[in-house]
Amino acid sequence: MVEKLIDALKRKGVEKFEIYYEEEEVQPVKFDQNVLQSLESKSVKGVGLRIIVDGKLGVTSTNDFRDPDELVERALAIAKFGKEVKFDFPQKAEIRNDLKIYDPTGWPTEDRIKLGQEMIKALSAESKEVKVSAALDYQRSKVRIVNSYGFDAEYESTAYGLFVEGFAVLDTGFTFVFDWQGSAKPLENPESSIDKLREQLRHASKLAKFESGKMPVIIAPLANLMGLLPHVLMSGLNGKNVARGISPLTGRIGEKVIGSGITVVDDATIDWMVNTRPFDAEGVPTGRRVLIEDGVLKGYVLDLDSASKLGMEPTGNAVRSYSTSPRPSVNNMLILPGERSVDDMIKSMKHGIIVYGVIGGGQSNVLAGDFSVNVGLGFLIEDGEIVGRVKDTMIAGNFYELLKDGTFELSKELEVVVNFSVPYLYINEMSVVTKG
Amino acid sequence: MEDILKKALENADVEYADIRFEEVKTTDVVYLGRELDNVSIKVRRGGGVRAFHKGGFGFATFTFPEEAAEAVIKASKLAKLASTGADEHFAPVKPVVAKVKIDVPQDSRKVPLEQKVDIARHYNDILLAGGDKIQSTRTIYRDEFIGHIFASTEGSYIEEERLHTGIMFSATAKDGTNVQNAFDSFGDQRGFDTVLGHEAEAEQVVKDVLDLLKAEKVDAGVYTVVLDPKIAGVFIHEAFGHLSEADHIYRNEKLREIMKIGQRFAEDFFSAVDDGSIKGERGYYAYDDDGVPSQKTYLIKDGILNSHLHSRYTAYLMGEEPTGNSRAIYYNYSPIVRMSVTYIEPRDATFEELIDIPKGLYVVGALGGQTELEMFTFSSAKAYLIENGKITKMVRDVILSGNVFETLKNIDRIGNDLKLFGGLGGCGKGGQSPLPVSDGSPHIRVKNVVIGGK
Repeated sequence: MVEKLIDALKRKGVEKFEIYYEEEEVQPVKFDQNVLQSLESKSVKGVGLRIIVDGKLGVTSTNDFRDPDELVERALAIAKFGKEVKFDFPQKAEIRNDLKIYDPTGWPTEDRIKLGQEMIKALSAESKEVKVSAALDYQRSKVRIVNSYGFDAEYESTAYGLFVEGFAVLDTGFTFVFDWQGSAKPLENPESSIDKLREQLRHASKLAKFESGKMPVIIAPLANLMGLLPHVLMSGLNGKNVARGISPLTGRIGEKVIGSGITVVDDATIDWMVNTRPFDAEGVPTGRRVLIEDGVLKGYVLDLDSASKLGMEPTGNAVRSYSTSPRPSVNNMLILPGERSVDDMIKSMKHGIIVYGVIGGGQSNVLAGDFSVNVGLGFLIEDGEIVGRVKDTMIAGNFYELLKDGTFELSKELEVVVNFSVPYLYINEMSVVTKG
Repeated sequence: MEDILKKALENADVEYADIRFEEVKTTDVVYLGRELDNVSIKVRRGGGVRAFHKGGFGFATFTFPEEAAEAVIKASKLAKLASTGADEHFAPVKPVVAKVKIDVPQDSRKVPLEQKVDIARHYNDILLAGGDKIQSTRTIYRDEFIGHIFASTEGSYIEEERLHTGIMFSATAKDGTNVQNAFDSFGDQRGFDTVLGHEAEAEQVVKDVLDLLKAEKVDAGVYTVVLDPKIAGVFIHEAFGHLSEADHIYRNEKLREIMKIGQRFAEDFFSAVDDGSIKGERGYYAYDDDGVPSQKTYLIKDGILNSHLHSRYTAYLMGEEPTGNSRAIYYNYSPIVRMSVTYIEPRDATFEELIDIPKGLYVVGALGGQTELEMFTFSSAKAYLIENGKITKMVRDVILSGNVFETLKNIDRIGNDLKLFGGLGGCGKGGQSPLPVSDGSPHIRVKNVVIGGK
């Protein structure tokens, strides 16, 4: 397909083009509420085409490869009205081939069914009310990018994923517990999800009452990933928002933007992490980049377009599927750990809450740093002990205001969730509202 | 095509199988600030085969019609592998043979691309004219045509065309570190006319975003709130609609008990409906992805739980009737139970009567909503204080949260001004987002709502 398309582009005299070809095959095994529900086999092959004619971009895509001429004609028609661009597609570059992202060992369907059944058995033993739903995936992908400057590179990758959720109608209310694991190689310890869920279910069986007020709050990594701090930082660092001037981090490189202790890294080179890749969706080589160092802004997350607008170098952060336009986003986002253990954080807390899940993350003024969420799963801590589940409770605040020097701590433990690595966040004091 | 798909289905050696084949063409125009950010046309086609056998589902995708037979064989094999041997079936329905064509005054597919760029720029220009404080804008025009075919081993063969057209415009204003956002959107299946004539709403967005810059954050607490039709629509969709979806309920004895038909959920004057048969609405479709006609279903009637939302499979498991709510976002996903056009029925209260309270909040528009069945959270676009029956000053960052069962019982008045909303977004569930849905309501008043804030 790609070769035929190149021929068609040459025939039509298109001088600047980029072809993004993608192949994906995934076979999910799905359990629904304690029952094996479905086995699926999905495959996608598609091509996205971008051309630049007289400084204007034509963007189109298809999964029907029979008529490359039609695709080129459509791109040409769009380019007449298209976006004006200052960037050019990248030149041929040295692409590293030592990243570990491909392990086609596979995950036999029978093994996945067995694992799902084991998880159901183990959690049902903890609570007979719990209904376990799970998706166990094995995916193979291939990406190839060819552009008019002779860039022609491809990589193959695999992804092994486990999502498991337990839902129970308990006396303390509806309860969701869940875990999520992902890796480019077979999961080393998929059973660890069971232990996590089991512990959360145990704590959730008792209700704790308390009064609204200011108090310390621990936000667990999975809760933080439900639209809280990583989301706020991603929006702020996103080159598109920076170029539009709507990010509060616009024009502040070198400045202190958040409390000391917060170091954020984007790293596309970590072996076996889900979004590790040698080049981004526009063919720009990827790497490891410090974005925030000890609270000081060091750089943004950029694609070709946002980099050209800001007069900066692209950072290898373009993401896309064949049918969407490239946009800047993190590869693997790491919030580096702190010094204290989670145990110690809990033990030292006199009166506060620990939050494992939230409802409504990402709906507030995320760019500004705001959040205001219901505590989906959280526990009251009294004198260093978890005493029970909190309900009808909201936490709210602004991360840029809350996370100042000395107002928070990060745990030394990290949780790696798909393409994020995040510690526990201890906030010394914040607003908690409850119906009590 | 009909022959190819029907012949392919002959390879199904399972209890039931169906094929959905779709051609999808999407046109996008995006303005960001002064710049035309994206013009693109995406095309894809393909099919998905779903096979069902004794409690097990198999699903396989394909790209070209001639590959359908192979996918039927694959899906059937997977269904048997997934089968638990359970005595589970699809609720019986009459096979349907039908053709549903697009019938709109102005077919968006026939409108030149240039005109679509122009209309997006037109609204974007209105936003940009809002002055120095307008930091950026975002205007999206989108149309999407879906040529949809459904064929089943029971003899159904349905061809249905769907055409969604919509516009969304948002403005971001900045004053120092204070960044605010306001937006509006219009989207449905009434063709290109849907995106015309929204100049006043664009001007309102400018006014709102500038007002929000000056508004104070709401004080956290427990309030009596009057919800406008938009956020009340989000409430009924998020908070109660999802709970009505039978796939959440059918395997959970405790939830079946809670969601038992005949239980009281609200006062007598409260009724909520899901109705995918309202032509032209964003959440409209003639037939669902089980081949069942869309229909009007009372979720709550006069305060009493009246029905769940069903696919044929969940209807069988619960011994109830299919409601035409089995939907997949595209051909490469298997259908699950989804809402369509969900709304609260109007009653007689005027707006003045609703706000006739000593103290409260008038909450307008919705930025989003999320639910974990019992608990919900949604964020409003803007809000005003109500003091002694009058709307007074604007406040921002009003996020409502609560328990759906308590909140439904706390609804104490319902207005007379039902409005339905579509837009460009939709509903997310099971990794399928955004599925086109509409929701709506008249103005309603609710007591005892928790508002997060400063």
